[in-house]
Amino acid sequence: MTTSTIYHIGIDLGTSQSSIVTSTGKRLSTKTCVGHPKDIISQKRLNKTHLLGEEALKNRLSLDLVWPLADGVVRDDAVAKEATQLILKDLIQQTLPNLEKQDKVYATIGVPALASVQDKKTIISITKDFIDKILVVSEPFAVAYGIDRFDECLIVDIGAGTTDLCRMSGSIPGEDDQRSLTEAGNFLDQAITDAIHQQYPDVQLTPQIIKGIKEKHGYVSNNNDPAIVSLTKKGQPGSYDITEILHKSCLKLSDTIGQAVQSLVADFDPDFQEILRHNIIVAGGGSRLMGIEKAIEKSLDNYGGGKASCIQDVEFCGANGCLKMCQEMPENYWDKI
Amino acid sequence: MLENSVVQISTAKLMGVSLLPSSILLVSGIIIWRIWYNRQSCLQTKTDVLNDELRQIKKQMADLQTAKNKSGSDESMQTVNMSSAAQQTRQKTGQSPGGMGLFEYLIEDNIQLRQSTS
Repeated sequence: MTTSTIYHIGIDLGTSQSSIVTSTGKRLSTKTCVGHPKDIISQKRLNKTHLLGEEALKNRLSLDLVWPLADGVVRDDAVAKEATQLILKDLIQQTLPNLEKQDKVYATIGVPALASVQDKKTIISITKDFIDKILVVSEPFAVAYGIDRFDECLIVDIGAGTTDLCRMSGSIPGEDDQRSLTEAGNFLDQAITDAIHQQYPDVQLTPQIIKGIKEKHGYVSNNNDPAIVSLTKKGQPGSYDITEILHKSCLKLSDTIGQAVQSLVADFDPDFQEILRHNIIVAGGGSRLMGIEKAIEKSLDNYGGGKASCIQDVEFCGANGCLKMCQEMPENYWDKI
Repeated sequence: MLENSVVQISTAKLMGVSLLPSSILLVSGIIIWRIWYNRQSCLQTKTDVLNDELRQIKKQMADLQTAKNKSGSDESMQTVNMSSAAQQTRQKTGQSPGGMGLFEYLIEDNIQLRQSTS
């Protein structure tokens, strides 16, 4: 008699960071990137066909690095699809090391709120060889599900590729209840890069340097310590004051999010607008931006004020919601897909 | 007489000097031993509790295995769901805020997604 086991997993496939949570209690988060050796020398040195996540980033000088997602969805080319497969397979292998051939994997995966049908179908097609049943759901809805917030609240999930907003009102959110903005983490990185280059031309910047600066000094509040960073100009190190640059760049992001929040509040049932305004939940990597919740609250000043709070388990809140949904889905429902 | 007193005082001082470190060592030794002894007793109690729990879990596992063998003896393949907690939650979903309607919607949405040609 062969015994097979059903494993449930929740996946948050993000443009910059992907996370997985399994029914066995394991969780893992990695950078959504794959690196292939550039030439015969790097192949000999690394002795691998590809490197993933942080390991790939660490060895990026010897690799052709692929970031397979753009704006929260898998790019429509063969290289990106193959890279996504490698990342997802690796996440599953690492978190389910005892997975046997006869075992089954049921997954729920989060995608941007308004991802196209084609984008969702791409995910289904690239996972069909190693995931037995897959459910594609809106990422901010998965966050709401994970924290049991079905009542009037507004989820703002600030990722790297997209910022997704989802208005919950005790029923399944429709398209009108959701917004997907491309103004997110990567947009902010680009804004900071452009602003630094404008003020300090020839300063050497890489995406990693910008991410580091953003995570350490990024803020949207009016009172913050000066942001003095050490950068190189033609190889020569120096200290640069980027306090104002950072503030203005971060405001570009928070203002856009504020406008989206305003629009979702404005066309909501007037009787429930106040409750909605006072129940804004900020999730995703962007919620680490200092003062983001205050900036969102400020954007609602003309609407009667609001209350926003940041979620605790930023890295896994989406994946947790996906897993919860996956586990609670009745078996006979799974059989339909 | 004087010599006798000097000898007596010197002897007393020498005794005091040599006795003081010894008594400190003795008291410290007793304290350390007491701490170690208490700790051992505490650990022993915890080990006993854990052993009891382990015995119970083993018994439950054996019961489960017996039940499984009974129910699946004529099947070539049997599916075991990893998460019994999930099963319990599932049974309760009728009362959960999401309810069954939510799952129905999600499944229908995903079926339509697979059927759509665009």
